[in-house]
Amino acid sequence: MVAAPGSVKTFSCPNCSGTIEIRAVGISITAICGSCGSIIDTGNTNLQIIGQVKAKARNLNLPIGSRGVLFNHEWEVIGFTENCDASEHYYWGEYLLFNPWQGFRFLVESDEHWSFIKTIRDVEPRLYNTEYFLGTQEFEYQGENYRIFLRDTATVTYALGEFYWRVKIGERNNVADFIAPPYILSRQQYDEFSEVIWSHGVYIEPEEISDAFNLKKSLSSPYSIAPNQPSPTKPYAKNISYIFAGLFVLLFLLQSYLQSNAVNQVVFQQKIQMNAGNKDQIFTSEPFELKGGKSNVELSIYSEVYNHWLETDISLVKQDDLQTFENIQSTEYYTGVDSDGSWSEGNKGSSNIISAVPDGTYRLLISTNSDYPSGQSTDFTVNATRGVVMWSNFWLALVLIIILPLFVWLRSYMFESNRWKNSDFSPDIYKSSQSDA
Amino acid sequence: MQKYLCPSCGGEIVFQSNISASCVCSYCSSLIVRQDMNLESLGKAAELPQDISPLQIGTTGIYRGVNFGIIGRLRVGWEEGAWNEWFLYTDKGEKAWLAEAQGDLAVIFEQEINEQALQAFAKAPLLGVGVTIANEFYMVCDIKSSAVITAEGEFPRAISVGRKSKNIDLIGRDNKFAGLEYEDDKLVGIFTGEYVEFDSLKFKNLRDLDGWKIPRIAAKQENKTEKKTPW
Repeated sequence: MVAAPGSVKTFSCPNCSGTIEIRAVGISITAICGSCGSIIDTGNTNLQIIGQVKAKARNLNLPIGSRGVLFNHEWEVIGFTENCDASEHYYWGEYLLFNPWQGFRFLVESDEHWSFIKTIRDVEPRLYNTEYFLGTQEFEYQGENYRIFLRDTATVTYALGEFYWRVKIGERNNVADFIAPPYILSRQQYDEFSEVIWSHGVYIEPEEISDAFNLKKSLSSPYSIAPNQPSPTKPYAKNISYIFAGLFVLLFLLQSYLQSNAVNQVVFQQKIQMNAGNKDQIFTSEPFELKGGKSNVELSIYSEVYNHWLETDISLVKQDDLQTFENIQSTEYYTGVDSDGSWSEGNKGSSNIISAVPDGTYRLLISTNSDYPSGQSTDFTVNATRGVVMWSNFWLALVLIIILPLFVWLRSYMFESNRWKNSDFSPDIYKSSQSDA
Repeated sequence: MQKYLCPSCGGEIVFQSNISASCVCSYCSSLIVRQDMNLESLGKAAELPQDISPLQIGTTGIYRGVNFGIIGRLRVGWEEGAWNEWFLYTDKGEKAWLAEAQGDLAVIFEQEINEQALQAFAKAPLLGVGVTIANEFYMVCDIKSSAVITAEGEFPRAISVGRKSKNIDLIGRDNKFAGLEYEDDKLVGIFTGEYVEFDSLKFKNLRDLDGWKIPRIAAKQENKTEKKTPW
């Protein structure tokens, strides 16, 4: 009797008589008895035992026969292999998925990270050539730049289920991974005289696997960074750079506008003589007008101090209501000669901006303090300028808008450094932080 | 379409395509070769083994705007398994095949073997070697020996069950495929084509599969996965 197409084919294990199921009928050529671990050649009706899985049957996160929908297609788990790297310290699992219309896919589970993988045939043909391939550090595939992440071997250590190839425990393949997160391109070759297989994969969050396969127990969260794990900053990195560029242009335009519209009107300028020793001397200026609406006023002093300091306490006082804006400024200038040569420090001038000063008639009241000896006098010049451009606001705003992109960049940098820590092919910019770690 | 009577059992034999040269009688599984108006029986084809392929004789589809229908199937075996080669009847009358191996599909066209090709491929190229076929660059990616296990439907040439051949698979740019076939170290076939996605061929009259939902229904149920694969 001919079985209905699509139905599971069963037969008895030639070793232990346990029931073995074949799901990809006519395609699977190897099946592993779930009871005794015999590896059976199912390519023909002889059902020869061709190997043995020594380890006990395991509980898999995705048991053989379970189904899940990923990328719009239903997949049945039909096989699982465990592999280890050349150091035999690092192990990962590979689930073989089958859909009768779409063919095969793989789910690779490694350190709780998952990737959905498909065999492909559209990489550059010369990448099939081993000699050319071994000299390749990066290449483009479907518009993405892939970078070498590892060259290693993969040895099959455990298998369960059925396969469209001959599974051999202990068989060692040469593998290489190239990454463009969330994508990964892998090349696999048994030896330089055998078939080359390229596959392409995409990173999948553990929750997506749990949802797809309706797992009752949710999968554990990864603790490390996978080679093709997308950076958490990647979704908004682009937006942030656009926003930053936009804000920067706005700020620049605003500052340009303010600068071109600045009044920069000198409303008061006078040279004043300061007599040291006369501490109570308060200079009162002639009245001057501030007109044209609320505006800032820059008060500046300049003095030819020399090995002395001078402090001025300036009050801008409105005549009608005695509204007062206080402002203390000092200048000092010292110079001398020592073993390193001549030196100087301090500033002969100083300025300060008072913001939002209303229109009106004002006077300046200025008292001074200094370290000049009593009886000496010195001159200083006072300037009051209305409507000056305030650069301090510009710099403050610039710092504020840089903080977010800087934070995102730092986070991304840390993430990438951690990713490349696990690679022998780390790009130079991530190397310095690794040697520190 | 041409009708004949099976020389073995007398059952009606229909050739869908006039480029078909042989067929398997659907009543008695005799391998029939058509030579002008004469039919000759060349023995019997073995029963097809159970398989899960959703394709069948009578399945139709569209490849790059050209309608095709499946009219024949070869089951080809090699040391490590077997695959299907479906012979296609097309609107254009080309010798076209749909290869179905390990869940992958490729649409393949037989190319004429001219003097130039015979010279260029007198010796089978080795693995990893680059060659040019019909102005396209290919790399040899797989070499294996195979033999026809059994067959059903009709074919462009006489098929001989059990005859061994050497198949050289070549890979080109963007999923392009080429194949060279040797019998007794003699080049007998040049094929070019490409690997295709199942959904791209817009199949109709597919075989129902026990326990599996038709893919379109499955696709409708689950549209929440927004992340895209490039394939």
